[in-house]
Amino acid sequence: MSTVVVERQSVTQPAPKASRRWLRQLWRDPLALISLVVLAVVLAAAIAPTWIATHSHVRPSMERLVPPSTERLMGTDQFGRDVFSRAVVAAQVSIAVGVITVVLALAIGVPLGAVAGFYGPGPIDTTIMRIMDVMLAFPPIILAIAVIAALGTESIEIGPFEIPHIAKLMFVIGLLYAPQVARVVRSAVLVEKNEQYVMAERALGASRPRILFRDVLRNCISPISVQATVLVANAIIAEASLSFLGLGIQPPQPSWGGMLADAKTYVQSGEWWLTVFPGMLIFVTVCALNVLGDYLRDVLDPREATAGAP
Amino acid sequence: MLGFLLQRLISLGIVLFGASLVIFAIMRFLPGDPVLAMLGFDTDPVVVAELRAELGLDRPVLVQYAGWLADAVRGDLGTSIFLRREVVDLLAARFPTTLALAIASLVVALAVAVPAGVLSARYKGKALDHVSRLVGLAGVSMPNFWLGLLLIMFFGVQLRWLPVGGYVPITQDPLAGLAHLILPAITLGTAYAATIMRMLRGSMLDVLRRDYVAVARAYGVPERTVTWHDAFKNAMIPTLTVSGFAFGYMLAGTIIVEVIFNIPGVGRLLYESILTRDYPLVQGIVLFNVALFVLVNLLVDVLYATIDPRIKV
Amino acid sequence: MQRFAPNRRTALKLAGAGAFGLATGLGWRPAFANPRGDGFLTASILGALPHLHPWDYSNHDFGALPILTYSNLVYTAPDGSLHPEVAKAMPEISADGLVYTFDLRDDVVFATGKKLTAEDVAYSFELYLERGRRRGDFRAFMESVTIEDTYRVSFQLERPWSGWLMYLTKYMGLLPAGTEHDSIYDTIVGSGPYMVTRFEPDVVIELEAKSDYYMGEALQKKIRLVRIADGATQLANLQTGQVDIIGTCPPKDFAPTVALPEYEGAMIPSAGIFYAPFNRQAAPFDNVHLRRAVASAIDREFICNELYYGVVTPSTLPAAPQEYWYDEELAKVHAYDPDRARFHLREAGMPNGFRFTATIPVPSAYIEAQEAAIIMQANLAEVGIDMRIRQMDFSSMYAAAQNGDFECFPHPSMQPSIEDYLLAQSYMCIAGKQYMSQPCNPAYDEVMAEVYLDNDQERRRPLLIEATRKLVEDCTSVWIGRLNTYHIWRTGIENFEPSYMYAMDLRKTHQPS
Repeated sequence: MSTVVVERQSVTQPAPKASRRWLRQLWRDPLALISLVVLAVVLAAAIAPTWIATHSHVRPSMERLVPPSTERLMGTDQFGRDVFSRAVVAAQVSIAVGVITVVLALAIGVPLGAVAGFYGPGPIDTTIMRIMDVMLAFPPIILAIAVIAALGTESIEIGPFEIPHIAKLMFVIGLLYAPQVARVVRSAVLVEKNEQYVMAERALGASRPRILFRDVLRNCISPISVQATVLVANAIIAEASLSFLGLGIQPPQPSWGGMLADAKTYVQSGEWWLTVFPGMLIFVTVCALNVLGDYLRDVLDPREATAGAP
Repeated sequence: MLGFLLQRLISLGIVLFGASLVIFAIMRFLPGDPVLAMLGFDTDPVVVAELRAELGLDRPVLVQYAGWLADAVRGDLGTSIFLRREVVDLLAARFPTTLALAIASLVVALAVAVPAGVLSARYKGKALDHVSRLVGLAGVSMPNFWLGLLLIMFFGVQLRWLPVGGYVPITQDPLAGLAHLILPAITLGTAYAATIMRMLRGSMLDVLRRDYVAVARAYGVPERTVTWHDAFKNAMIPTLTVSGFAFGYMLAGTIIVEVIFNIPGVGRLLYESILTRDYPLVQGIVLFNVALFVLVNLLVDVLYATIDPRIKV
Repeated sequence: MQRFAPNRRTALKLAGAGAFGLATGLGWRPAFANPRGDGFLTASILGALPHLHPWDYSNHDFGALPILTYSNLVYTAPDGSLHPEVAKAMPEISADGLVYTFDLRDDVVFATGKKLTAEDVAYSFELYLERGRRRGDFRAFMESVTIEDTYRVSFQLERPWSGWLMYLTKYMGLLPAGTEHDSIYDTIVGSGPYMVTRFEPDVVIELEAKSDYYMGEALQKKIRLVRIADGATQLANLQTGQVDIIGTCPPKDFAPTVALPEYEGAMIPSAGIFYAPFNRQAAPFDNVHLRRAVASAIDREFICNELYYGVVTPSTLPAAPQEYWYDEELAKVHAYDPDRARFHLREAGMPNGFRFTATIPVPSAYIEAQEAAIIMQANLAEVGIDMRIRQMDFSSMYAAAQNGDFECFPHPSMQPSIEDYLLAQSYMCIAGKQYMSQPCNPAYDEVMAEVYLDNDQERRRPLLIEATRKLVEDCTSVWIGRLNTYHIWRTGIENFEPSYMYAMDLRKTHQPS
């Protein structure tokens, strides 16, 4: 849904020396600062989980369903595994899925949207956008369940390469998000292509692809980066939902959604820590990403920036 | 306008055709089939073959698709394999529930989003703005299965104010019907409330920065009039678009809420029909959802053009 | 909006969050016995309620409906004992176990008003053999039905299978002669004690006692079956007074809930089993030592008693420890012993272990198989075996298993009787059919044929042990435990107990107003 938030915003060229302003503004925006810290912590967990985890994240023990304590920060699950250590390791999955998925969505969506916007209106635009419409109109769960059920949840071996299940997950979610990216890019390009510099370059004889990919797209970076941040957040939720369904990360590897799924029979009998912590981690991470998305939009949109202090 | 409508209807047809092709291909591509789901491990080849023939699954896939499409064009979506009822009848029976849920969710979303968005823009940078932005942020960041759960734990189980699940048609018992809708509507509406709120705030700030607003202010038009008459009215258009989108998504995206709250709507029907590989039912529901989504968007565009004559459609 | 629905059961379990807290917490508590005061005894069912057909269903708890609305030649009581129903007495069985003769009651009346005769019985069975969905096994055994007299009918079997009597309670219902098969999806024509007064597919079925029922009108006048697709939500509905008897609840909540004075509950062994068959046709499990290594490395006590809180009774054999054909010595062969698992790995020439993939149904019925799989994974890792998990939804799973596309397949399975499991689900080849593409064993088939001459336990015991021995020696599966049927109901409800057949039997249940 966040697509539309940015979609209708008109875009102008970023003001010069934006990078320095970013930093200056960051200190004035405590929320964005906190979000950066949160993301840094999650990222640290994702990069080096073994430094942070206190116990094994896969080995069951007899200490089952122990409530949180100083020894067990988030308690243990029904298999006697340390919830905190699992949550730390799970960060890796969430971050990897979030980032790689969005890179994939951008790789598909940006060229499609750009071409549609730049060469439209016309048959190219219509064809691309109709295909995107079909994909957008589909209830996403159907595509996800269908593709994953068809591909299976084990790793596939193609020649010498072993494609792990997580790669398939990324592919499916990335594919689902590509139309959203395409739409945003298309509307940004639509605005941009009527700018005077485009006309000027055309008058000077620059080829259309050159103008599109060198100049127009560069000026669309602002909506694209905002959209990307929000999509990372959504992809994390999507992975969690798929794991919750049993189609995501396969046990014993933890993921936040998978941990919620494991907790399902225990929430009601008072083991609140099994549900609250993984859910909270998803929530906090996604929140931080959304704050960052807002922040980026504010600093990248000069009008917004100058209007900051009325 | 007429040409526009015609063009959109043609593209609706194209989208529906594309969707029908995709869903048909996906269902046939999936491992497992309804006969095996029905028979379990009773794999007497004779019985399996009989059933396959009875359901027409022994015909070439293209023939199956052509037959299904020809019927679908005439409004016949076939018969559910498991529930043994016409898909159209099942949709007719389940859709009012989903529609009620989507409307209730939209009401929740708008009831929160409109005041919050307007006030937030009006008092930009003030405490009120910060609070509503924070709440909006939390709203979009909340995985809705988690929110549904927390709501049930708190309001349903601890406080016992509201039912934990199930559904009573409003027409049958208005009070009980409403009580059953509140928690699901909040669960579904929250994320959209946040989105609409953020959209509204952004658009209003956009308008408030425009020259004519500055002129109006300079002429001494009261701030309240500026806010409501100029800014809000102009910000209505993008807000309407988002709300339309949101409604389209709500109608198609009730699955998770229907599952968590045990509501017998179209979403739960769809989920279960996927698990049992009930081909006609899955295909019918998906086609219906796609059509609905596209129609809602079309409606939004028409409204859009009606409200803002500057936009030529 | 890029969010996905969680699976039905798991989400609903989450949905019932905190339900137990409410039973122990503050707030009002439901009054005893029918707090709604609507005259209905309400019971909740986990699986789908798609139609009213007596045998065309795949979820076992749906069986609660045909039990109330149809009758059969014989009836299996909740404790698993057989009783005559439409038949006057138990059948005469010929010495070779192939001919069953029944004398019928003359006072049985169908819902259509027609009186039941031998003609109706013959018609019903012929229709079943022609149109029944799970008739594969049945057809392999049943040869013909003969009308001997107006109230006397005999059945000719192709080979001995006394198990068919129990099978009737699960997958059969007598119809008036001439009934159109497709009509019984929407209408009840049976001669059971209740008739349906309201039916909303997948939501609710309401029933009313028939005054002309041949065994006397039931005490409970109105019954309502509601579908609640998740155990935790069922429990929450019991606690809020919406439901009087729940079909299931999360295993962990059973004991604490039953301990409260407002509720009663019971748990008994059912005809279900939780086991993991091997694919013996392909590597790695074409090697019996690797099968034994896996079977010896699994800690069943932990899985059944700790993880599943006793709703599965641990057993290394198909028989449960309390059953008449359980053999202590055989049970020791693959008991939990990591050292023996290592020994078998060495025997197989793989002292450092090996890797295999277990196919797990998600969501699974009765219990979540995936939970056990996580413990199995850890148990096996201890001896160096790397078990990977492949999750599948059940439609894909059936196809995979049928095609032999699996290595090991831990899953819960429900049968008409556990002896039938030995017959259909295990080793025997019926009509050339190999279960899950596995090899047959003619010596085993011979023993099973002798088992099924009749239902006399004394005679059957040594034979069933012999059949079990063959299974254990070949180590065709890891038997993890037997599924129990367990229900919770509001205190004050009379004559209710869980059934060996798994489906709720509400025929005699009564709720005093």
